[in-house]
Amino acid sequence: MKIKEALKQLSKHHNIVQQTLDVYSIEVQLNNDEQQRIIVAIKEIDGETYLTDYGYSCQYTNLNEEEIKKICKTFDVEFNNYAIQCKYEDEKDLANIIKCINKIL
Amino acid sequence: MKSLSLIKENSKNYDKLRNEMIKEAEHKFGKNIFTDFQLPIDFSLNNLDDSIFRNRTTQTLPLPYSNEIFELLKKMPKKAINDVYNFNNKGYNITGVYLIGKYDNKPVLFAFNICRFLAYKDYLNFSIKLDVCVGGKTWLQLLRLDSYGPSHPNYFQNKKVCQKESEVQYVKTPHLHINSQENEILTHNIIDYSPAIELDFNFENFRSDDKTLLKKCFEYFKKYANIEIAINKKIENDYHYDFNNPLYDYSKISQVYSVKEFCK
Repeated sequence: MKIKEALKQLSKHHNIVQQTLDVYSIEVQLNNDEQQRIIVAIKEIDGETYLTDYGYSCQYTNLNEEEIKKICKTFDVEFNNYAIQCKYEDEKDLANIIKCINKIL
Repeated sequence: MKSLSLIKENSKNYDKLRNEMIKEAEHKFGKNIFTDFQLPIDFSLNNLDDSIFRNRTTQTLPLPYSNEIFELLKKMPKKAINDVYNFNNKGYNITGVYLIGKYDNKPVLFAFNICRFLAYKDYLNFSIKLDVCVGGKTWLQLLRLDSYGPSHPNYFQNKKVCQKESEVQYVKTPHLHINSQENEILTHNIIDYSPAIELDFNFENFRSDDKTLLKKCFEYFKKYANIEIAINKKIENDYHYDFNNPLYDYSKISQVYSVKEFCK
């Protein structure tokens, strides 16, 4: 999905912030804790829209690389050089990446 | 309790909180923690390694330095004293260098680093950080510039705490976190939040692969914190940044020399 269409869909339920001309983000709460928030970036890679944590989870977790990869697989999320990322098609992809980050942190 | 309510509550008890926090810090780190920011006379560069840059340091206790000392540390001219540490860690490229300032003819040690995420061919996600060594061994984060983040709430307007949620404005990226006395005291019990100020430029009109994002922030930070280092043009590339300091004598790299000598 092109980023324009993805932003249109996501903006129905989320507050989108423009970071740069080509990257947007949404802020999500972790574990229903108002004080634990994380930013999920929305960016277009090769014509598809991706959601990514920009390496945040891996930097702040005590888990090792193998353990992180295992969790990512469970939630159908990719591990790309310490970035947690997934292709965006609909709301369930966002839910999956949040669940995955929750589990890693 | 919401962050704003906590800050308002802290603001009401400001003096009491400050005294309590100072006592607690003195108990943990020693009586002179708020005055002893110069290095011990026998300190040697041999004692330095890359651990400050390699390990994520979390400040376990707020250290409310007086605004005078904070300003003094911020404004003090700082020069690089060692060759840089440059390595990759968990998907980040980290470039760090130790800096020395001088106060009352004695050295003050700082650690400066740029941390940049490598997974994407862009320059959106990086941070620039300056820590100061206090009491000869405790690291205190003074400043941190974040290039990337959400609409960061700013609970202060005209240096006063906002009274209503509707008054809270949002800081754009990049932004600068300042660990001044006021910030340490007012936000000490708010998890994962430290106040930030907006810079006089933001990234909304740049593409994320624009190298000037990092350069602009680096130049801003350097000027703000009075740091005398420069990006080394010769080795600049997509993934590695290094610095050269025109004041640093590279012929001395292999020599062991004390900080005391540097400050003569």
